[in-house]
Amino acid sequence: MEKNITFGKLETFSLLVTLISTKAVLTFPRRMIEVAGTASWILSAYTAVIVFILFIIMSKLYKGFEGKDLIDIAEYTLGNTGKIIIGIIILILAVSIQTTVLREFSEEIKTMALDDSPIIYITLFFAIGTIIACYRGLEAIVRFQAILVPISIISYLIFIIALIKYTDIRNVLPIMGNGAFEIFGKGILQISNYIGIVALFMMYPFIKDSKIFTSVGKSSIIVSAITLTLTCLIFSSIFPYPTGLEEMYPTFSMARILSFGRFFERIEAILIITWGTIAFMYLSSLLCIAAIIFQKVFKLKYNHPIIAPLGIMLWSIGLGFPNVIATLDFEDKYRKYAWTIGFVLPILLLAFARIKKTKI
Amino acid sequence: MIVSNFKKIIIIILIFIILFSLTGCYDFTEVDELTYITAIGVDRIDDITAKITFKMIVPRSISQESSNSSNLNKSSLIITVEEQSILSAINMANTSISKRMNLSHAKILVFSKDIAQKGNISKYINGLDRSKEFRPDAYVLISDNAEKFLTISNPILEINPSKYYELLMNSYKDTGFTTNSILFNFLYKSKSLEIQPVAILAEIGTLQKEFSQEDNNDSNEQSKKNNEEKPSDKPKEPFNGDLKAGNLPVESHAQGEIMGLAVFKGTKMVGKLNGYETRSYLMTTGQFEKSNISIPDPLKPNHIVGLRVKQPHKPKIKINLENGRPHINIKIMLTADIQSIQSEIDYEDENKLSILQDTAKIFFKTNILNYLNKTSKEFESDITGFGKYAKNKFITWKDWEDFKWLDKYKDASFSVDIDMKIKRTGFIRRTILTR
Repeated sequence: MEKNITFGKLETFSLLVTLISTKAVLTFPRRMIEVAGTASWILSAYTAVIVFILFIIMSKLYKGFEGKDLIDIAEYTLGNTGKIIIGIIILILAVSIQTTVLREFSEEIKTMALDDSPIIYITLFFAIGTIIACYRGLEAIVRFQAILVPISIISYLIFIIALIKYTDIRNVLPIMGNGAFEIFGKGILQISNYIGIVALFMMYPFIKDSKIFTSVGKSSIIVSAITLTLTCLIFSSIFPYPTGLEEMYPTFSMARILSFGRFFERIEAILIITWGTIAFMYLSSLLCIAAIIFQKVFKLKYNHPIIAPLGIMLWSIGLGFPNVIATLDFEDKYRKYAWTIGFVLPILLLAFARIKKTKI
Repeated sequence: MIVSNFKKIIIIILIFIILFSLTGCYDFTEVDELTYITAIGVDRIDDITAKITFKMIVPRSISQESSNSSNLNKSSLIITVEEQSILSAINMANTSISKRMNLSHAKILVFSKDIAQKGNISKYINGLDRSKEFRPDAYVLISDNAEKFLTISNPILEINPSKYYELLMNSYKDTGFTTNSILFNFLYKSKSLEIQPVAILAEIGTLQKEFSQEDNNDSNEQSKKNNEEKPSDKPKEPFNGDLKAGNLPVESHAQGEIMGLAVFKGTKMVGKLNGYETRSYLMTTGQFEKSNISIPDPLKPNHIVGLRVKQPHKPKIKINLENGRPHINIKIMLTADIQSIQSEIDYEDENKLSILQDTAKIFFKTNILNYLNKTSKEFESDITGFGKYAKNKFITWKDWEDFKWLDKYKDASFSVDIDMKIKRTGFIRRTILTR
């Protein structure tokens, strides 16, 4: 049934922007500072450029495989066993991301507003919402995002513009921060922050048009890069290095200092609702994609029966972290290697598939 | 049919779950169960314990529109606790009042001079920046006796102490005698390699103490001490900025005074700036907005010319590092309107106006140079933040860190250019002598 669904440019763009940019309201700016110091914004822009180049390479390799997603290509290249292995690897990555994001969002909401509520309740609140959204299907989620993502981008830009009065651009000096090797050498691992773009390769059957595929990929990388880089730039110029390293939730910390005169303060209260919505969009998209992957890998007729078990499993794993520090440490660890699954694996798969196709 | 009924049941169950779980009945807190702390004072007892004073709003009295004098004293409640940290002191204080104390409306944080000079402020603010209740825009103040400042400084023109403190702290925008020393700035500057923190000086006025019913021996001693300090602090010219909070020539029922800044090196207080020096601080940091400033009359000694001075642009700062020794050049642009001419000399005349302009330039240049040399040679603390400008000489953070700017600042030399333009003369085109 889902194969009859077709997503347009806006829908696909919204989904990808959600999957890539959501980390702007989580720990992304601090993680960039940890690597690059005052040059966090350069690192963010640099990784975006690398990802853009990788995406162009991937989309070129994709030519001739229109209508196929990564799992189909894995099956074509490596056979059924290879497909299952590749599928499970991607699933593990999706589950890792989902569990940490679920826990991080819940911890953020708990720290910001619901400090008396148990974490089990807050995560359950997100998990149930996510499962219900997934039952409505990817189409419902994506069409909902097509409405909300443009509004979210505009709101976020207004938020960033409002923060400009608190910035001091000299705080991003020295320009090269922790040094060229940290930024352009070690920093390359940070392309993991853009692994959301892989979702595009899982959605090819829903897009069906290669022109849309390429243009949406490029535009979503550009918009996400602008959002993430601006966030790093603004954060670093408000919270000077090394103070910025202290902030657990950088975007929330920026929202706390925001006020308009004496009459409009505590704007973070509004942001809690916005961030809750973003969290739902992100988590439900990811769960839905995970369910679709699971369905394809194990050749299930429907994915509905596995949504609830998958959701409950993610919720349980998310709760399994003993504390927020362990969650962040786990995220740091998998992000070090996530790029191999997000970029290296698809490129290799596509390259092998091309070779195989040429030989045939 | 069975599926449809099942869906209905699920939906009804979900509605019930949402109704009962999202209404917040489980862990709700009513506003009237809270009491809002508006000011916190911390005085040193010993190295471990501090006397922590909370000033809280009494909502019942500030909600009454028809204020009478009896309400003024009841608009706030003072509780003092001896504890090791502010958060544990709140716990302790909660045992003696019916409502739960809440920090979300705390406007000022007053530390005693003893704590500031020992560099112990970080011990007390450490927990606050983690707390979601405490606002990063609360002001940091330094007083000889924080408890006394909070007890005696009560609003006269306001009923609400919170609004009183907020307006008082914002007065620097018109006077130029204090600054925006909020907790957020204080915290990051205390950890910075390029700028050092300042805090507002706050005291109970010497002349005002006679109005206080709680005047006691301590305050008399303080009064004497302040009076003794006056000869050494005495301004060379009779202008109103050469003073600090606690010895202002103000007689008023409004009992709190804020003027001048406490200068820090890290979290350790190393000195004080008077009102004039604070203005220079504001001008060099680009925070100066506008202020009425009296300058000596160039043509008639013992008279003053009143100017309304504004700083239309941020200062232009250039730093040269010669042999690791910083030379700082700062160009400040000021505009002014003539407000009063005691001597009744016709400064509206173009030739005389240029004399007045030159005098004003020298006046501000001297003040700013004195201020800069004081911060560099006496305090060895870069509160202006020249380090932010020096940073662009370096490529990486490591280079900058190794340069040790804060250690080098004491060797800095300065040159100051003032671009002063008197723009307007008010409603007077030409001053005519009185007969």
